[in-house]
Amino acid sequence: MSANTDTINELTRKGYEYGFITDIEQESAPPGLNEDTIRFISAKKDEPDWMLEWRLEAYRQWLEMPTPAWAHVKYPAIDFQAISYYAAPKNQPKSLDEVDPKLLETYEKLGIPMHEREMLAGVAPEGRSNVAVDAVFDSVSVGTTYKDKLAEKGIIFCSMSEAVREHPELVKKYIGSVVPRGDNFFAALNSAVFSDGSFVYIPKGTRCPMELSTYFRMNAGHTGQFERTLIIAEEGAYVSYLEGCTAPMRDENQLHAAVVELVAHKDAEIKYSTVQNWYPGDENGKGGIFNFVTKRGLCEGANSKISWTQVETGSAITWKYPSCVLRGDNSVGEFYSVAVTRGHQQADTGTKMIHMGKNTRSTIISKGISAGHGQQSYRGLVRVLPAASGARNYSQCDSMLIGDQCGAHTFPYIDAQHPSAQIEHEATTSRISEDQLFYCMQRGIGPEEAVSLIVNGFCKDVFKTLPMEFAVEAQKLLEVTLEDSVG
Amino acid sequence: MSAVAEATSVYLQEFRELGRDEPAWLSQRREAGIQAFEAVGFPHRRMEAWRNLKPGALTQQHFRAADAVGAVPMALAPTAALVPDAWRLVFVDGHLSAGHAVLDDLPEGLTVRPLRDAVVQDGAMPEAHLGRHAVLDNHPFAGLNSAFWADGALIDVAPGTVVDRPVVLVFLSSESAAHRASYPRVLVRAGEHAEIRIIQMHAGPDALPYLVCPVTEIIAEANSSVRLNHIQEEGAAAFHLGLVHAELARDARLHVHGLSDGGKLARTDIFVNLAGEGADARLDGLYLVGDGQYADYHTWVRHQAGHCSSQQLFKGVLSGKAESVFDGLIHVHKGAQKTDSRQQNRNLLLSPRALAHSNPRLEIYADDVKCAHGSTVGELDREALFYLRSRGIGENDARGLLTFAFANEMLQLIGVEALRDHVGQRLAAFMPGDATVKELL
Repeated sequence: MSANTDTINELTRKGYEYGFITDIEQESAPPGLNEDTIRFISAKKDEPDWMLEWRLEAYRQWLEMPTPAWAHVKYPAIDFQAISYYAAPKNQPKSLDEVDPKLLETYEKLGIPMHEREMLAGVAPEGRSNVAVDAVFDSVSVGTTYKDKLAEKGIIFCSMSEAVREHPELVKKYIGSVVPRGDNFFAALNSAVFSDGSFVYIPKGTRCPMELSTYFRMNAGHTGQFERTLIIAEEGAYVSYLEGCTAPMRDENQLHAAVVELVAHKDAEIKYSTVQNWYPGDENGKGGIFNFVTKRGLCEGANSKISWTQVETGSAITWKYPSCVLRGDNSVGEFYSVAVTRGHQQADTGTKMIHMGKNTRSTIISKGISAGHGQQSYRGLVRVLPAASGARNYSQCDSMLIGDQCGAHTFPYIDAQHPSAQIEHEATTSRISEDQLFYCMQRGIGPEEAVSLIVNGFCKDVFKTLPMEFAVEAQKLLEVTLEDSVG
Repeated sequence: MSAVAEATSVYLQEFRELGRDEPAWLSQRREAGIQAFEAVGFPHRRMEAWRNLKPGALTQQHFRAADAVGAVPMALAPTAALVPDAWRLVFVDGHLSAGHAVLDDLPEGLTVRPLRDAVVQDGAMPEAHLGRHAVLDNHPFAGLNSAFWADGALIDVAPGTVVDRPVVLVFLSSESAAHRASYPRVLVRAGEHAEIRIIQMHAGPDALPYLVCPVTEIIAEANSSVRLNHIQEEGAAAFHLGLVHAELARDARLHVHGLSDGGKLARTDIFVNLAGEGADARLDGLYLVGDGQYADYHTWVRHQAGHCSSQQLFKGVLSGKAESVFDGLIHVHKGAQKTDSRQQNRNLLLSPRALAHSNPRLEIYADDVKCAHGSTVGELDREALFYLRSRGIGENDARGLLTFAFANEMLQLIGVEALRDHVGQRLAAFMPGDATVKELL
């Protein structure tokens, strides 16, 4: 056993390859949270008065709220006064060309293309297809690629701060319309102190010609990241949006409390994919990111569609429920999730599907894999309101357990208030069977490879909904993550 | 809104005024009960396990414990005599109705005694078990029961005794219990290799608000078998909030079959601890929820040892503005390997205003287990309705037939013929369709 320990340690460490710190001159707000902190952030971003008022109102609501404790996760109380709510590289670039080379290097290391010219010229590394990227570094966006090309089509893709300045009418109309300021504890906190995030607006009848993507990187210590993303698809529009995230390895727990709002108007479709790979903490459960996120999409118009796909492999604690409010008739909500917990990771994740319109449909496929001391919960809500005739839901959540120290839990909530609703929920829990392993091994496949093969098969339903590149990345990530977890 | 009973101390005050002359151990347990209630108070939306229950009217008044035995209401006389071939204890308003008791020729090894006498006569057994198992922390009404119970039953089956007739416990409320509370308490122990069937029946008059908080504790020792038919047919304005708690030792078997068909607000929690290897628990339930009713089943099945199995099947039929909750937990403890656990919940909505909540939950801390749960909510199959109608059966009758088909599976699991007929009649009264069709069933 002890002979293995070193190898295992090594592998666990190796498991997180994005744990480096970029040494860059940064400025940050002193730790602590009060109205002045919020004024400071607002002033830094050069925001109009209404935005500041909105933030302050959220802060006052937050003060009144109790810390939620219902989730199936355990963590020490967070000291909200010990966190710095703003951190940014000192030299803020005016355009992409002026971005600090150190930053570009960071993103290069993370495999995120920030050089649009190279790609346009056809010398894109690794044959990547065109993806427009908004790169968020701690509290600010350091650059957005392909902005001009997208603008030709009338598409707005920029950082949230820029949107507040350049498109205040849109921001004012939509911000908080899906996730209200006082929605929950962490959403209220985010509304008060949100820094950057992405803003996407797809005009009527436009199909976004490339994948849009935001890459979130936490770098500074003792900070939290509180980004806010808002995506609006006008009538008949289509957009596919990707989100990735990493952070350095640190012994402290860092808080990430984001809010994502999606609005799909009539006939519009939004596809939102996440590969979440925040630092999960070390093998003893020390350090790691607390990922407490509120994500919600509103299918506003008839025949609209919102699809969430998530691959959750990182974070010490994940606590999020990407949801769909199906208000438009015939609207469709989808949720595909693969969540992996190992080491001492904990995840309480799932979705909410609120059926309001007629003939609305939703699908939930959730695959949970728990290894080591990981604890994982699926928590989902399917609610059918009295007006939602013909609503249809199918949910399936499967859990796989690897090792006898981990746990897998399922808490689905079904509230049906219309007789024509059809709701089905199924869940199973199993482990990799000896038979499956034996079958692979007698054909010369090593135990680790066999586990990886079986796990990938288990997750296939979800991976096939990811955009191609992401699917490859997700599969690799899963292999790395489970490297040391054989039965 | 200042609700009378939200100032929880009205119950504490009532408790202090009672002043019972009882053994010290019992006084201590009553005290623990009232303290548990005081600590939590009435449930509210913020308590996860109670989030759908709206206790509004319950907190608006103080239901004092009924202090005397009432008369069996005329309409309920047949209910009191249900399942003729059985031993029987009948309680009215929480107190023993001595004239109705049938305890002749009890076989050797079977003790059936009113609990009030038992705590004096069989000192050691109740002291060892009464109130030692049911959890009070998260169930304020169980706390109230522990504090206030006036009477109930003790059933003790000696090792190796196989009891061939059921023991029927009937808990009725009378007209004089209006705005009063009763707290029936049942303690069952089945010794090693013993077998017993218990029928626990709750009923009361319509149109009177009253509160019933029953608690049943079951201790099933190694290789014993306990079957419990738990029937709730309270009056239309009643509040029924109780629990059943069972501890299963090695290779013990438990079958609980529940029917919830009455009350304005009814909830039964079923706790099962599978504490010994090879134990098996089966929980079944049928809830028929009519206009303005709220019915709630919570199950808490805890696999504490390996090689145990459990099965749950709960079906609900809702009509009018009904609301139902099924919340079922399967908890597999660390090390409880080779657990085999299944859970199903099916809900049939007959009306557009009915609301069904279904929360099947799994908490699993062991890796070599088989656990599955499923849950469905829906209306009658249109194709099946069409099929029946195309053969000349009226719509209402067709709906009745299909409703019967849905619920009949639960009837077949009852296991006592007289009781199955009784529940069949309740079902027929509930389902749509006219009398001729119902006679066919």
